[in-house]
This record gives sequence, structure tokens and C-alpha cells, in this order.
Amino acid sequence: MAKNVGAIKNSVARRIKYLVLLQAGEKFRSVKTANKKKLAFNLFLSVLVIAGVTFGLNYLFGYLKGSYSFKIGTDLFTSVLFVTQIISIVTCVGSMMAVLYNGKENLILMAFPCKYNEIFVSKIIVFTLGELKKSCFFILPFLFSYGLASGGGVAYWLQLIPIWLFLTLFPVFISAILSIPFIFVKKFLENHSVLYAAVIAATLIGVFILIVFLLDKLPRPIRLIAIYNQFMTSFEASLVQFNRFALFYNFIGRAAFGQKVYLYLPIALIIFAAVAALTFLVAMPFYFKAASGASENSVTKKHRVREHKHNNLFLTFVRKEFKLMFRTSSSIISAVTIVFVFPILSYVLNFVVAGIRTSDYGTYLTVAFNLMITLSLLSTYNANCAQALSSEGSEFSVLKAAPSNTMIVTWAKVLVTMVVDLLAVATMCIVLTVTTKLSAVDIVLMVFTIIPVSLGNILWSFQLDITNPKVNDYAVKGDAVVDNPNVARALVIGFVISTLFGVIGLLLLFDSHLTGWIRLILIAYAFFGARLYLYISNLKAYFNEIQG
Amino acid sequence: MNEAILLCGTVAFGAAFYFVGRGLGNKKIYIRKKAYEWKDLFFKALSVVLFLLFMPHLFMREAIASQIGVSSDFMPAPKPDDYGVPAVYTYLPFSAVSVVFLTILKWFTLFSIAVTVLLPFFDKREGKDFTVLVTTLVTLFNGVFFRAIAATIVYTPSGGTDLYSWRVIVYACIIALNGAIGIERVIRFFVEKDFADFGRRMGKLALYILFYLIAFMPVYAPQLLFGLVGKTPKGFSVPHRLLIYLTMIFPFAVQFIFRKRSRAERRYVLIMLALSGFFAYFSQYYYPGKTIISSLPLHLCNTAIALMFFAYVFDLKGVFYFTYLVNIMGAMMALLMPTTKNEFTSMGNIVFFYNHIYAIVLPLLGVSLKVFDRPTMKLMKKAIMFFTFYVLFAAVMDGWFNNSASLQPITLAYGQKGHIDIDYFFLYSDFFVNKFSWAIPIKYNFVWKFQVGDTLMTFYYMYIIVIYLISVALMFAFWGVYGILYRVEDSHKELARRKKLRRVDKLDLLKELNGRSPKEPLHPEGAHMIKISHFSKTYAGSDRKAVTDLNLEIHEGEVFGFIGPNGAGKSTTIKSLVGIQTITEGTIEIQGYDIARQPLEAKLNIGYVSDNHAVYEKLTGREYVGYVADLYMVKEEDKEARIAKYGEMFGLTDALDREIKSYSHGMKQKLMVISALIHNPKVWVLDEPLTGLDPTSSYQIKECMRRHADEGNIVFFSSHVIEVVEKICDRVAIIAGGKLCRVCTPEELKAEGKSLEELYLKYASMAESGDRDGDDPSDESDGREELVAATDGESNG
Repeated sequence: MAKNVGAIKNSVARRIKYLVLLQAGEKFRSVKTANKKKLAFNLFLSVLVIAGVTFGLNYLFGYLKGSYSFKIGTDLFTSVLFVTQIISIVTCVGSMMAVLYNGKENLILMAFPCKYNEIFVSKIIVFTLGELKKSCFFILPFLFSYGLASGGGVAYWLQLIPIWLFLTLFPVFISAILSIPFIFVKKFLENHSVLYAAVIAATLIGVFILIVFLLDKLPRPIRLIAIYNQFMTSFEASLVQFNRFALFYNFIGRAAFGQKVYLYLPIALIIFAAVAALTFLVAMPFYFKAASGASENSVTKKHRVREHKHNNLFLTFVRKEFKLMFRTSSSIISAVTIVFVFPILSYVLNFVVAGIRTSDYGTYLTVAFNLMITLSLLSTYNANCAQALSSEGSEFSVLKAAPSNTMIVTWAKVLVTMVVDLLAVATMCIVLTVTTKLSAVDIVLMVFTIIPVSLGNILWSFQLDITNPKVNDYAVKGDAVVDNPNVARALVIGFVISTLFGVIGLLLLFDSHLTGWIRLILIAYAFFGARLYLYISNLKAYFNEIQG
Repeated sequence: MNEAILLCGTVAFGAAFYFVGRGLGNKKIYIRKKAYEWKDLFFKALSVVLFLLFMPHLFMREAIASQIGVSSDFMPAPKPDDYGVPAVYTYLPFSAVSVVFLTILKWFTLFSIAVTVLLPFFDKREGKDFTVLVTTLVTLFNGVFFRAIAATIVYTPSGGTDLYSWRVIVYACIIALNGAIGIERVIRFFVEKDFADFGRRMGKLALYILFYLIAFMPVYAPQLLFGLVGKTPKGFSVPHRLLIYLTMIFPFAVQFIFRKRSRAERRYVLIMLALSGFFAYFSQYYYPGKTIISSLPLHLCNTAIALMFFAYVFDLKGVFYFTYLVNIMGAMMALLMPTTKNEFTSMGNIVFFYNHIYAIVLPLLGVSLKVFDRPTMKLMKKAIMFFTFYVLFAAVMDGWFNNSASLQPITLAYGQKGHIDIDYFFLYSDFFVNKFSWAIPIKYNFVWKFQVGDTLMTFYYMYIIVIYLISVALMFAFWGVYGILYRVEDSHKELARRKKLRRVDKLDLLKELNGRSPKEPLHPEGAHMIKISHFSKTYAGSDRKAVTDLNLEIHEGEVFGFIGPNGAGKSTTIKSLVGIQTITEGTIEIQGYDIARQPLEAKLNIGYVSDNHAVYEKLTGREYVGYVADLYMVKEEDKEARIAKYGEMFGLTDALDREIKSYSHGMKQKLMVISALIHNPKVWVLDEPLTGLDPTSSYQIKECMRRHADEGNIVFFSSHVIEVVEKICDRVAIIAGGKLCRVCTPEELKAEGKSLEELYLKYASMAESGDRDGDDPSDESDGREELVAATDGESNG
């Protein structure tokens, strides 16, 4: 009997092992296919990046400690842990919903002769491996640098690896639980788009009201130097207050710094074990229902067809793109976010700056800062263009087989992104007019700079997709493609370009206000011109070779 | 008198050189089995002597370099600059016009010496013409105005100019030798009557002078020509800006102008630029040390100037990659962390800026102009090794000279007292520590001291190790950045290549069309068929052919079946046929249109049903079909009529206004059939259309296929259902292992007493065992080549 139980357990473990190997082989295929030299080089580069981040953070903590007498101790540690964990959980819930429940490979995995629980466990393991890899580039350097900056004792260094594992695994388990209600809610909302939009709008309005409420508490005009000591004292006090909500991260923080390790560490471990157990007890039984529901054809939504009498190909594509955008929840959320979150952020940043009495240089700084932030935020949205064509997936063959100049489809996609960008810029203008002391001329000139740069970014992102398409990946995985390198590259490029324009803008405005603007706008249009030329050239050269 | 002797001597030497050269004729000497001409060696030796003679002069500061502008009315109080160089100014006893003339003369002299030095090493037409025309003129002016020129070298307000000082004598020798080489060229020019194409040559010479004159501009020239009158401007003036913009444009201009020239020419331009940097930098370098070694320019960016020169001249790879990976890194760090305390726009800062920009630009041009290859890991290792030696050397020098009692204090130029400030690679001073406080304990907690004679050698060993490791890491980071830049360069080259190919293809097509419109079929004789000729397909990243040399002709009215095992090449052929995939070799023509070269015209005749359900699931069925109809430019009234007709035919009318997401497999397949037929295509291509369909749907589609063929169109489809193929096809092709095995009609098979299934299984197993070429002697009659030949015959018939 015991032998049979052992054999069953053994076969369960084996099945999970093979499921993990199957999925990990796909997820980490670049590691699998790379030769030893390349692998060693990539490993070396990763170590270099980790060392660089550690060094950078250590320098930051040292600077805060040295220049601002900041206490690099338990409170800050706990707060940072808490905030980063919240962010981790939020992002994990999103990824988990895409990978765990909406992944196209579910259809394959569920057909295998294994239990759904085993698939669930294997997916969690593969997901965790990915998270561990990611955490090497932030959590681990953070723990190292904080330990160095705070002069962490033996207890800190001994607990470093367990804390790292805990901080990486905990969001995975929590989000596995949270993603279940979310997937059902999301599915429900997707079928009720008006309600969906209302929920998003309500949430954003709520956030905005909260922010306005908090900002109103700040005394105006804000005198940074005068309130510096007061600020530091209240900041440290608020860290303590904030940590009251940090739950058991307090235990981890305290245990890390050697406070009642015998008590706090076991408590943290027990909580961790409980959450892990809960994940498997609660989430596992729901897995099959949630995952299979995602691929079931239960939609019977009907759409009224409006007659259109023209055959203009560009308009056909534009119509299609808009329809698809409005009927795809992730697209509409991205668009709504960029159009509405944008002013909120802009409001917050400019509220603080507007509260400070500034000189001319301060005004230029505000302009450059707004320029950089606006471009950065727009580029996060524009980066989606780096997958716009590839995300057509298997549908791309329709375009390829068509007897038309289907390259036009990319221009339709550019137009859709541009419309959202313009809406976001329009809202930004309203916010800037209301919250800043910037003149109308400055705002208008800023818009004249932002539009060509943003358009240039859109075209660059598209170019990345055209020259290195991932059509097959999207055809196989659908929306579950979360690691498209083109998108990551587009984000980096967008951020670099935004920073560059911010810095160039600042330097030129410092040099001369009027000619500074003229030169900046000229540079922006030159950038757009260059990107447009390269985009058209690449489109003509590569589009026909994109193979579905 | 002196001037006359100088000029006559120059002419006499020039004539002597000519006759020596003539006397040597074409006599050869063999060194290691390689032939060298004596004459060639003689003139190369003269160039080397000229260069060596010029070196001591170069390393001494000239009086003109300390002159303040064209006007010496304003004279600020002398003060040492950041580098400890005392700001002692001289008054040249000349008018403004004379100063301008002398500056330009010295500028051209410097340039002509560089041209003469390189003359025998490169077969450069402009260099020869320059020597004939410019060098002789430069020599003439130098001779005539020699006293004034001597004053620009050694003049001091207190002592005037000593015409017989050794520096003036050396300079006279340089002028004479340079001039003599020029005279020899002039004689040769007239004797050989080298006047061919003279006008064009002069034009080229003008461009040559214009380009290199900028590079060889002495550092003091702008100050002397335009004058700063001792004041440092607070902001950037227009000339400042122009200089900066020129600097930014210059490397790109060099790259653009020379990128397509021969390697020798590219190397020549780099050597000239390296030489100009070498001249400009070392004519400004100040030697404060008591011993030679303590005065050597061994700071990383100082080494760059010398190393680049040697790397380009002697083609030294190890040295070059040191400059490429280490010096550039050092120069960038220096620009980010300048050591100056001066005004941003001071002369010192401008020199500092140019020196470092030079150390960045020149090595980059070495690789971008392909004089040196892109660095590999092996070369990276060499550079690291070189760097290790440099750090060790710098550490020893720093530890020694900063603590040597016998070397401190020292006498600086102009009698001032000072201390040696040796801090090679900043391994000794607090330069980095002042910027990065975290390094303080690393530096001062790990010190190694030991006594050597009167010197307490001091090494901050941990600090040195940390700086070394960070530098090596930065070298790798730079390597990574270069990698990105190489990729950008490659992608632009690939883009240019593709553009060119497109142009060539377009021209070829027009040529083949022989005056007809590109909208007309390339081969009108094939206007009623699909013609596949020698089609092969290899996927990117694979060296295996998915399809090899496939030939087929399919005619109007035919239902043509295409069968074969999985991976045989069916879908590959179909995807290339409908224009989804590129064609590696061969051609595919649809109704006479080449699918690769006339894709739009060809595709207009095709309706395609893919093997996957390639439909936008968020659109409704009607929207989707409407969208496809727009792509195929179907008239509005036709579109509506056909949607209604096919919707009814396939029982989809009710579902057409629902999102496709809710459709079953069969419904999606039917929708695809409708969208493929919406433009009533001449050629209907279906890739495994019956997979997963229920018998009714399957029947409906088969009926539709038959009807479409009967209307005079072509139906080409692939399938695994052999019975269906056998039943509805007019002809069948079997493909296995990427090769066409047989084309036949069901009737032929019947006559042979074989079933399609048997034939299919046979070829499938042959392909599996790698024997698909029909090399089984017992099966010769069924061999592929024979069958294909038979097929061709049949097609032709």
C-alpha cells in the first residue's frame, strides 16, 4: 500500500517536473539555445548589471545618509519593502492573469494526462522562476546595498537569502489568490464595456480626488529650505505611521536588523507558509474553472453594422483598428490610462513646483521637467506599437495575401496611437494651464515639441516591430506574449529620447528663451523627419518579408 | 645673406636629391625575398629624417604660441593656469598684419611638413601636386622672412631673437630639407612633363588643401587671427558655436567622404588626422619635470594622441584597440569630470575639450572607416593586457615621483619654482575621492609604503585595484555600446542594400515587360494557369530547404489536389504561392503575374483559405468579410450580394452580426471560405480546408470547390484526406521531403492499378527513409525525375 502511495507521489512529481520543463524550455528558450560562450557573456553582463544597480543604490543611500542625515535603518527598509511589494503584487496579478489563465498553451497543457492541480503547480513554479530572475536585478541589489549602507549586522547578512526568496515568492502566492476574483470580474466587465469604462473612470476620479485632498494639505508657498528640517522630521514620523499598515513586513524588517529575531522571523515564516498553503488550497481548486472559462466561446455579443459606402483602404484599416481597440479591454485600458492618469501625474508634479517661488531658471526647469515627464509617459504608451503588427498574429496572413498595399495598415495603427497621444497632450495642456505659472506661449511651444518627438517615438517603435517581427509568437501565444524584446527596447529608447529632449531643452532654454525654443522645435522636427524617413525605408524594405 | 644661403642650399639639395634618385634608377634590393627599390628607400629615409628633425622642434614651445592676439595693447597680469603652466606672454615685434601673415605661413609650413613626411609612403596624387606647388612656395616664404619666423620660435621680450641658437638652426634644417624634397619634385615634374589633366588636378588639390588645412590648424591660430585680447568670454560667442558645430560635423563628414574610398586612402586620411593631432597636441604640451621620464605625457588621454599616431602609421592592432577601448573610455570620463577651474569658455578648456574629443573621434573613425576590424574577444583581451601594464606603470610612476625627495621641488619654465604633479590615471591624488566619498576608506585604509633610497614609495593598492576593475568593467560596457552601434550600422547597410535591390528588381521587371504596363501579366502566355518553376524555399536561420526545385503547371477548370505527409512542404508552397512567404529560388506565376515581382496584380486573382483560423475574433462575421472585401477592392453592391449569397449557402446568415469569438471551428472555416470567395477569384487556394469539419460543412465546401472550378477557375488545395482528393480532384501532386514526387490523374492511377493511398504511403516512407530521390533500382519507373519529366510532358501537352 505504502509502496503504491509512494509510486503515485513519484508519478505526480514526475508529471510536474515534465510540465515545468516543457514550459520553462519555452519561456527561457534563449538560455536554452545560447551557446556556452554567449551564456557566459550574458551571465557576466547580468552580474555587471546587478553590481551596477547595487553600487548605484549604495551610492544613493550613502548620499541620503551623508548629505541629508537620513536614517538608513529599519523604518526606511520596511517602507521600501512594503511599497515595492505592493507594486510587485499589482504587476504580478496582471501577469498571472495573462499567463496562468489566459495563456494559449493552457489548451495544450489541459489536454495532457495530468491533473489540473499539477498544471497549476507547474505554472506557478515556472512563473516563480521568471520572478526570481527579475528580482535579481532589483530586490537582491537593494538588499545588498541597504546592508552595506546601514552597516547591517550578522543577522542581516545571514537572513539576506531567505528574505530575498520570501520577497520574491510572496507576491507570486498572493497574486495567485487575488487573480482568481480579478479574472472573473475582468471577464464580467469585458462583456459590459460601459460598466468597465465607468469603473475605470470612477477609480481614476477617486484617485484624483484623493491626490487633490492630500496636496491641499501642503502649505503654500512651499519653501523647501525653510521646511527642510520639518520635512525630514515629519517624513521620518510618517514612515513610522506608514509602517503601521505594513503588516508583517514589519516583522521582516525588524528581524533583518536583529530585533527579536527569535520571535519575528518565525512569525514571518508562519505567515509565509500560511499564504503558500492558502494559495494551493484556495487558488488551485478554482484554477480549472478560471482557465477553461477564458477559452470558452460564450460570447454572443452582437454589433450593429453601420453602412459605409467607400472602399478607401486606409479608412478600412482605421475603422478596423478603432473597432478592435474599443472591443479589446487591454487596449482601451491603456488608452484611458494614458489620457486620464497623465493629467493626474502632471497635476501632482506641477502642484508642487507651482508652490515653490521660482526664478526664470526655475521656470525653464519646470518646462524641461514637464517635457521629459510628458514624453516619458507618452513613450510608455507608444512602446505598444513595437508589437502592433506582430500582435496581428495569425491574422497577419490575411494582410499578406491581400492584393493591396497593405503596408497602409501600419499607418492606420500609427494614426490610432497618434489620436490617443494627442488626447493625452490635450489633457496635459489643460492641466498645465490650470496648475502652472507657465505662459500660454511656453505651453504651446512645448506641445509643438512634444508632438513630433512623440510621433518619432511611435515610428521608431513600429520600426522595431517591422525589422524584428514576432508574428509567430503571437500566433501561438496570443495576448500571453509578455516578454516581447521589441517592447522592452522601445521603452528604453523612449525613455532615453525623453531624457535627452528634457536635457537639451533645459540647456537651450538656459542659453536663450526664444532661440532656445526655436532650436528645440527644429531638433524635434529633425528627429521626426529622420524617424519618418527611416520608418518608410524600413517599411518598404522589410514589410514584404514579414512571414506569418 | 643668411636667407640667401638657406634658399640656395635648399635648391642645391633639391637638385642633388633628383640626381641621386635618377642615379639609383630602378635598382632593387631584396629583403626576405621581397623586392624594394633603392630610389624608393632613399626618399623614405629622407622623410623619416625630416620627421625626426622636426620632433625636437615640436616638443619645444614656440614664442608665437604665447602671443596674445593681433593686438598686444591689452595685457592681463600673468597667472598660472590649471595645469601649472605659467601664463607668460610675449610681445612679438610685429604689426597685426605681420602676425596674421606669420601665423598663416606657420600653418602651411606645418601642413607641408606632414605632406612631405607621408609622400613616399602613399601614392597620393594630391600630395605630389601639393609638394610641387605649395611646399616650394612655403619654403620660399620661410626663406625670405626667416628672421621674422625665427622670432616666432625663440623671441623673448628681454633677449630678442638669437639667429644662431640651436632651435633656429634646427628649424632652418627642417625648412631646407622639406624644401629640398619639394624642389626635387618640381624638377621631376618638369622633366617628366607631368601636366596631364592639370585643371582637374588643381581642383582636387584645392579640395585637398581645404580639408587638411582645417586639421593642421595650429592651436594658437584662432587666437592670433581673430584675437581674444586677453578676455575670456562669459558665454559662447558665434565663433565658439561655429567651432563646436564644425567639430561635431567633422567626423561625420570624414566618414561620409571617405567611406567608399580604397583602404590605402582611408588609412592616409587617418594618418594625416593622427599626425595633425600629434603636431597640435605636442606643440602645446609643457614639460615641467626635471627628468625626462617625469615630464612625459603619460596621462591616459596624452597617451591616446601618441598611440593613435603609432597605431595608424605602423598598423599596430594591439595599440589601436587599446586606444579604441581604453582611451575613448578615459576621454569620455575626462569630459564628464573635467579637472579645470577656469571659465567654461577659456582657451585652456577649449584645448582640453579638443584633445579629448580627438581621443574619442579618431579611434572611432579607425573602425567605422574599416581600417581596423571590429574588436573581438581576443582583441579585447589584448587591450586589457595593455591596460594592465599601463595601470601598473602609472602606479609605479605616481608612487615614485610624488615621494622622491631628489625630484622635489623642481624648476619650472621661466625660472619659476614648483612641484611635480604626477598623477597618471589619477591613481595617486584625491581626484576621484573628492567626487566619490565612498572611495575614501578604500584609499586610505589600504596603503603600502616602503623605502627605496631617499624615496618612500607609496601605493594605495586597494584604491588602484578598484579603479582598475571599474575601468575594465567600463571597457566591457563600451564594448557593449559599440556592439549596439555596430548593429545600427549593419541595419542601415542592410537597408541600403535592400533599397538597391528593389530598384534593380523594378528596373529588371520594366525591362522584361518591354514597354508594357507593370499592371499587365509578365508572361501573357501563362494568363490561364498557375506556373511554378524551380521553386525552392529555405527558411531564415535554417540551411535545409523546405521545398526543393518544384515545378508545376495548373490550368483553368482544374481542381488540383496537393498531398504529402506532415512537413513535406505543402503549406510552404501554398504560402509562397499566395505571397505570404518569400521565395528563395525560382518563380511562381499566377495568371501570368509573377507573385514576387507583381504581387498586387497576382494576389488580386487569388482567394486564400489558410490552415489556421486567421480571423479577427473581435469583429463580427459581416465586419470581417467587409474588411476583406475592401482589401480586395470589391464593389459595394457586389460585396453585399455575395455576403448574402454565401451566408445563405453556408448557413451563416444569422451569425454574421455576432463577434467571431463566439463561432465554432466550422463556422470560422466557412467564414474564411466566404471571405476568400468575396472577390470571385480566378485562383482559389485552400490549405487543408476540411480539417475538423462536420460532414455537412465538408460537403458544402467540396461542392463549392467543384462549382468554382467548373466556372473556369482554378482550385488548388492541400489535404490529408486522400479519399476526398481522389474523388474531387482532376489532378493530384504528391510532395514528400520537400520534393515533388509525382503528378497524375485519378484515371492514370486506375489504369496502373494503384490507389492514391498506396502511392502516397510509398513516397511518404521513401521520404522518411531519405530515399525519396528514387535511387532504388527496383523502382526506377517510379523515380522522381522520371515522373517529373512525365509531368512536364503532360503539362506541356
